[in-house]
Amino acid sequence: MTNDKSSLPRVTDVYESVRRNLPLVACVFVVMLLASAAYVRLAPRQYLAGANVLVVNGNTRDDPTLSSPDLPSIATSTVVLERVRQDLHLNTTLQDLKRHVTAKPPPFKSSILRIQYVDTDGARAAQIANAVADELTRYYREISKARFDEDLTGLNVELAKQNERIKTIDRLVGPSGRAILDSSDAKSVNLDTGGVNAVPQTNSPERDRKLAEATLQGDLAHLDAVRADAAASAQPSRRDVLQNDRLYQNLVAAATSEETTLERDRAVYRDSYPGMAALEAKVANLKAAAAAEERRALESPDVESPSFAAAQSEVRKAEAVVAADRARVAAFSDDAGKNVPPGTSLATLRLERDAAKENYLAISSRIATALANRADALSLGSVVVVDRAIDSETQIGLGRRTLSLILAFLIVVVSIGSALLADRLNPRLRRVAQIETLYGKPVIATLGNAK
Amino acid sequence: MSGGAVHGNPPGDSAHSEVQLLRAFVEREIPGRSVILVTSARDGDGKSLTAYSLADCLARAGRRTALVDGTTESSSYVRIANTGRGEGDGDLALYVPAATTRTPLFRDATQRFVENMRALHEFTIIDGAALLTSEMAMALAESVDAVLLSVRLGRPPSIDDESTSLMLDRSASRVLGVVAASPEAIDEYERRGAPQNAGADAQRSPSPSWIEQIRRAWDGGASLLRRVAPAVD
Repeated sequence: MTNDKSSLPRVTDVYESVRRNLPLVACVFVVMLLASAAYVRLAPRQYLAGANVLVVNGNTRDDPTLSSPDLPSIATSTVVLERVRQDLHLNTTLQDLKRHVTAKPPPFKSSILRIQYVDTDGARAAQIANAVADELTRYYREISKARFDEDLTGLNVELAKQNERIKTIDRLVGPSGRAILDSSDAKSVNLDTGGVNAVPQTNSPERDRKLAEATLQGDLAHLDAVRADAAASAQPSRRDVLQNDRLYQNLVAAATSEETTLERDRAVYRDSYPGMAALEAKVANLKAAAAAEERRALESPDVESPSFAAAQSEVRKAEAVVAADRARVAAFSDDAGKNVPPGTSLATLRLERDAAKENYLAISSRIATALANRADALSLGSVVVVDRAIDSETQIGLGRRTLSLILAFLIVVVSIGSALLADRLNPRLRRVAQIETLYGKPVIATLGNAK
Repeated sequence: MSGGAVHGNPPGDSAHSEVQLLRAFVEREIPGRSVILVTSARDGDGKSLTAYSLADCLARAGRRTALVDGTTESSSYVRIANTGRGEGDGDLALYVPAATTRTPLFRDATQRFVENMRALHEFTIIDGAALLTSEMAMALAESVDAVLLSVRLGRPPSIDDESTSLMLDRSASRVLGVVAASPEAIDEYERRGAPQNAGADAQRSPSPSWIEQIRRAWDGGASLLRRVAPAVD
């Protein structure tokens, strides 16, 4: 009888199998050993870094904008991750970023949202995890108050328009008119019938225009006077300048001398003197040179006459004042035609002003309400980073030592398994089952130990 | 083939226990006065080892056992040894062919031989030839009480195995089972039965070295035929 009928190989059978297939076992062992060593050495490590974010819920829950279960989705959204990628100037794609980041929702009865990032570099993993947490905080605040900010922007624009309208009306009516408009006594203001404190109907802008024109006329007269003074002082000033110009004096002297000679010769020789033409030309040239020199001297910025310079300065000042008056007159002419039609009464202006004030107050109230809602929305909840990731040394997956041990075990198993497999594939009669299958008869004894 | 009859392992070895189990199985399955043929599909599958081991074990168990060399076709057999191995041990009679013959053995002669052996001994173990190569083995397979198949562990299977099994099924022989012999045991048996040991005289009286006695008796079969022994046919 043989008891070698079990399907599982015995230890002795395994030993014999390995011994018979020793070259195969050795080859498999060596190959797997080399492959495992290469894998352990070259396999990239993965580091995990995490930041904790505290989700603060407000006292009221009327605002359905955000809730804690939504925060993990927001944290891993493309909006947040794209901002992180741009802020940190990362080379990784958005898809890779999304694949490596995880946001775990707060557990039951907890308000901590954990944001984790896996990377081959521990420092970078921590940096990105912190960046995502920070961006989540900012984005949360942004979307919490976004709608209120839009309202406030519109309201502020409207408020500014009303304020500008009020100021325009005040400017049109002037200080006296403004006092009347601001008066709360209706009887004292009988604008249309000319009551006790009635103010004549007049166009303030027209009056200001006329005033400006009068001013302009006065300044023009002043300019003429200054110019006359400058011209009057020009002659002595000219004399001072020319007297100090030696070239001019020489030219004048030479021209005078030559002209005297010319007159003498003309008196003696009449017009038949042969050198008369040359002498006349010489005199003309000298006079022209003197005139040119005179012009140059008077126009030179280095003119040495203080009085002349002062006169010129006064003229320039007066010309500037006149130019300003002309501009003012022109401005009054434009405004008068555009803003207030002729014949507009103070009563109408008052009505407009009152309406603008009421609008102003109404918009102010709405702005206040919007600000309150905005503050309320912010108070409903916030996200705060309470634990920042540090340079991670937490390696996920198996460490090299553990991996080496596991691979060593696998190498042994596979090597032995290869021997058993070789025997399985070997058709030689080595097992009882094979013999029984072959003959269809039971094996009743085994003689000798298979060595 | 013939060679020294030897049980490949001395008593007390674990393999000896396997032979004991084989003997117990045979005794349980087959009542006394039976003839068992040991054959195989191919030569060198350990038929002689199986036959000798079983015969020796039966004799040690006190059974009157005969061991017949049936590898060569013969019309008669001669007893060449009758070993008694001490008190309590049964006899083990060794039979070898008295003369070789090239003529086919008739079935009735085979039948008579089997009946004679059944009458003389409790167990007769016939060390036959490979079934497919010997008409005598095929004839014996139809006449004996049981057939034991022997196979060598580690050899590749062949078509002869299937053919042998089919032939035994057709002959309606009772096949007890298969005995698997390790190559080491077979090689050890063949080594002890080397040609240099041929020619040794078989001793009739029991001796402590009965294994050597059997081995010597089996070697050089031609010289043994000169002994005067009752022929069995």
